[in-house]
Amino acid sequence: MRTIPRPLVLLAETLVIVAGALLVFLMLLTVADVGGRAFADSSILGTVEISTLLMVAIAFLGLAAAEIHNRHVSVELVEAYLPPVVRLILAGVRTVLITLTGIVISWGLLGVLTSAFERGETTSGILRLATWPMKGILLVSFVLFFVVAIWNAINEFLDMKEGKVVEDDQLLAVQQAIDDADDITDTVVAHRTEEKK
Amino acid sequence: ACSDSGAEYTLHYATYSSPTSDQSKVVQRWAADIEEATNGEVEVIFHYSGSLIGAEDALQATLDGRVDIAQVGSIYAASDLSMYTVVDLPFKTKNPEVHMHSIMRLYEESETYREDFERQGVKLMYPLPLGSMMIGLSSPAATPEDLEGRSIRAGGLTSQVILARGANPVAMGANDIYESLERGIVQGYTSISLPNLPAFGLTRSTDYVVDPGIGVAGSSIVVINQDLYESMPEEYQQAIDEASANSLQYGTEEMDAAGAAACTELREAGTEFSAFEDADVEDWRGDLALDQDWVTEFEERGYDAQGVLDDFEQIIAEEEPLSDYSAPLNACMGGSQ
Amino acid sequence: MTGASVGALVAVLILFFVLLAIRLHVAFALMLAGLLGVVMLRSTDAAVSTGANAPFSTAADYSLIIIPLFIFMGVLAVKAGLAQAGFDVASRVLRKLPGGAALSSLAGSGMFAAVTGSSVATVATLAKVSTEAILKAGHSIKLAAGVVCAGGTLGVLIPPSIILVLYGIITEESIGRLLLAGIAPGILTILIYGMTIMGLVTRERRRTAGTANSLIERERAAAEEAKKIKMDGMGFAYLIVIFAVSIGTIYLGVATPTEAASFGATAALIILFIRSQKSKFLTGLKDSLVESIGLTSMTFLLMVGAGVFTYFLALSGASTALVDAVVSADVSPYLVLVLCLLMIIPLGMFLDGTSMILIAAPLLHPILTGYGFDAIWIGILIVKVAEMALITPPVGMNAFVYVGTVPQARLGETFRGIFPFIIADIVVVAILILVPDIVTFIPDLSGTT
Ligand code: NA
Ligand code: NA
Repeated sequence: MRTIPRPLVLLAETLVIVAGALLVFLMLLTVADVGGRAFADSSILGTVEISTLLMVAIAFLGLAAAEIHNRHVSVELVEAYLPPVVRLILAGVRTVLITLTGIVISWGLLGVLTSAFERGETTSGILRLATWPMKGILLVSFVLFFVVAIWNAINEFLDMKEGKVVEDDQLLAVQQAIDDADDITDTVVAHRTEEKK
Repeated sequence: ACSDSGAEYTLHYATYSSPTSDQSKVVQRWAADIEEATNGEVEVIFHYSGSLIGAEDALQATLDGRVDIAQVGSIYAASDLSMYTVVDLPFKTKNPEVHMHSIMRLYEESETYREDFERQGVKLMYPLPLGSMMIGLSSPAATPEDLEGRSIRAGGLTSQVILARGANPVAMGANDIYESLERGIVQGYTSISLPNLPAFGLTRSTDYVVDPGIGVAGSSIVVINQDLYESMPEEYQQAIDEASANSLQYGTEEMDAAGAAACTELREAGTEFSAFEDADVEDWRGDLALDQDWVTEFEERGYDAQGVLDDFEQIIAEEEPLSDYSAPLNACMGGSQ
Repeated sequence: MTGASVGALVAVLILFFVLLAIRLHVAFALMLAGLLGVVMLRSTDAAVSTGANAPFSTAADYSLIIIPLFIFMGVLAVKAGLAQAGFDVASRVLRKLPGGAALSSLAGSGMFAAVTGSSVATVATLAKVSTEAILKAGHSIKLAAGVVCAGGTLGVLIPPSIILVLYGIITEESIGRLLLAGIAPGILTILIYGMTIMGLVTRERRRTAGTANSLIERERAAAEEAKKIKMDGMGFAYLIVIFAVSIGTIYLGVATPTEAASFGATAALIILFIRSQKSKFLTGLKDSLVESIGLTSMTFLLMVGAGVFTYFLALSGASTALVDAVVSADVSPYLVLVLCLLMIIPLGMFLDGTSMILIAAPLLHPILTGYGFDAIWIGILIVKVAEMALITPPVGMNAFVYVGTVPQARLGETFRGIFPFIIADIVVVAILILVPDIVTFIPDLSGTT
């Protein structure tokens, strides 16, 4: 039932790949900086400044994809014991709250981006890098994340309304961990069979 | 612990400094003055060590009401208080008292300088003490040229100053200096002044302290949200103004106390003190075009930056003869001769 | 605290638990509750600014790059089959001991913990293989559940550990020292768990002795079987290499934790390259990156929520008031310590390990260090107990993940299987409290400050 529109998924996955590439870059940059300092008496100017800015993209570009894979933590403790009608209402409340949070945070992030751009805000190190591109990435990441989260919440509400109640002790986080475990086990098993060949 | 204070104004102060630093001690004395003058109707709640707001966010947070008062470092002010960053320029004065008075006089006398603050919706109350720039090293350096090839922790414009003599400026928090120095990740550090060494454990691990002749470069100030200040009754405003006026004096006193303690610890640890020769410093200064770069950068943004720089230098020239204050670094150096 | 602050605090706490109860994202629950408090104490403008500035100011911090790097390193290690390699070696070596299959699962968890930083990842990775081996040796699924869920907590204690890194960042304690301090308590935990396993198995052996279905016989048969396991010696060696690069360099003082994490992740990447078929390396790398970025964004969203929440707590004066109240109560510091640790357990009903540390550390750390307790020791105790909360009933993340991963396991028997290991954990915590040197001697020996 809960299928997320294809373009959204593609966009989210592209952002993850971008973040992944930045993570590898960050890793190699640190290695090169430390190596340079240890063996060649020359570090890469502004490594810390660049890394600090990159962290923002690496930290949040994956938000929407993580939401698509239900990776964000929530805990079902009380809900399992409530009658279906109440659970339906709660699903509605959740949808409203997520939408509300999404609007407030996105609005605020837009303000932060505009302000950084207009003020010509820069990092305070030697490179004086403009911060607005990262704040733009932040806005994009969060808006996309909230779109997916709201989409999921609405669909969950609709599912419940149609009587498809999610199984009691299946936490979202658990479902995600199970998927991970399957992935991981597959990799490990695949690896071993490869070796035996 | 849940005593309802009943103060009419509870002001939240955010600082990146630790509670025991000379800078926080100045603000504590300032707050005590105000509480006394207002019979406790204006009280200040301290949030130290960036626990409420990070250093980079301090000014914006004062503007949008996340805090009421904040310590703003010049190094973080380029985008918002551009003209205030004139105080970052090195080789201007070695006298911290002169530097602090200049920061205040510019606010009173330079329209361009003051406009930044007005646009940001904050009022400059007083500067906090910052000593003369020093370099701590693990092996001696007689001239600026001796810094070549060494990795040295630095921030702000000082990075460019040491870069001009072939050193590798390495950006890192003050908390990481000790460990990095011990491990040889850096061979020295700067962008810190002598009174602050004990707080970071550096009095025990610095074999050589050099006065590079850079002088006071950089500063921090205490600002209050302008609307809040103006909403207060006149008597409270007066209490704040009086305490702020006294705080420059508190600044030199607290810096001296911290500097003396640092100096004693360094001497006990056997640290050697030296200073670069005036001629070398002049050459070094001549190879840099930091003033020009600063003026160009901000003229591009539509400021009369040259005017502010001229005013700053003029004020320093006027203030120098009026002060016989000696920075803790100089005082400590003097003791070794 | 003023009357207004107390009112705001009560409202915020109620809203927080209500939001958790209706299954809102934990990050949102923290954020919304915190923002309500800021609206009450400051203004709506201040609240919007707080929420909007939190993501950038949370992430734009150089010391945090260690988090995605450690996550990446762990994911690469799994992809390269190093967890399985560790497990196989343990199965061969320990097969003849009573409870050999369970002991090797425990050892496997311990070895995997040495390259990964998360508790749930350790459970999810090893649940299937471990359970299969333990059941084959004739043990109950209860034992398998206990070993795997409890073994998962090692992932956080034995470095690398995302949670210890977070703890260091929140409390401004040395990350290097915290990571090193986890090693000995991790090994102690393995020893006590191992004794628990042997005790349980010995009892079961005695109970079934002489019957047709004797445990001794079945274990012997399984041990014969285990002899045939082809040991992946290189995989095991690589496991050691990664641990040496990422933790050994910190111990020797040649690298900062941040640098160590970069080198560890680079080593893991090279190892994955060596061990994968060249046609599959890029896919493996891509999968690892997707996995790592997902875990990273989850962690950071929680940090943003916790950041907003703790901003409110600081503003309200609740943190300071709590410290003052506890200190002025004039009770034994050790009683306060035990009470603080006990307070963490129920948090495990609502929160995962990361959120628990994000909320508990800023509150408890200043109270306990205020008594002059060693900061690193406090950190390890808090993290150890937070991990216990992940396996205590009625709600424990590790147990849920186990039940989800192993279809034949029921939640009730999983918790019954875990029970002896909770006793073991209590023993471990008691030993750590009585002998603090177990925590501090490794960081003290090393070049780290
Ligand atoms: Na670990
Ligand atoms: Na629990």
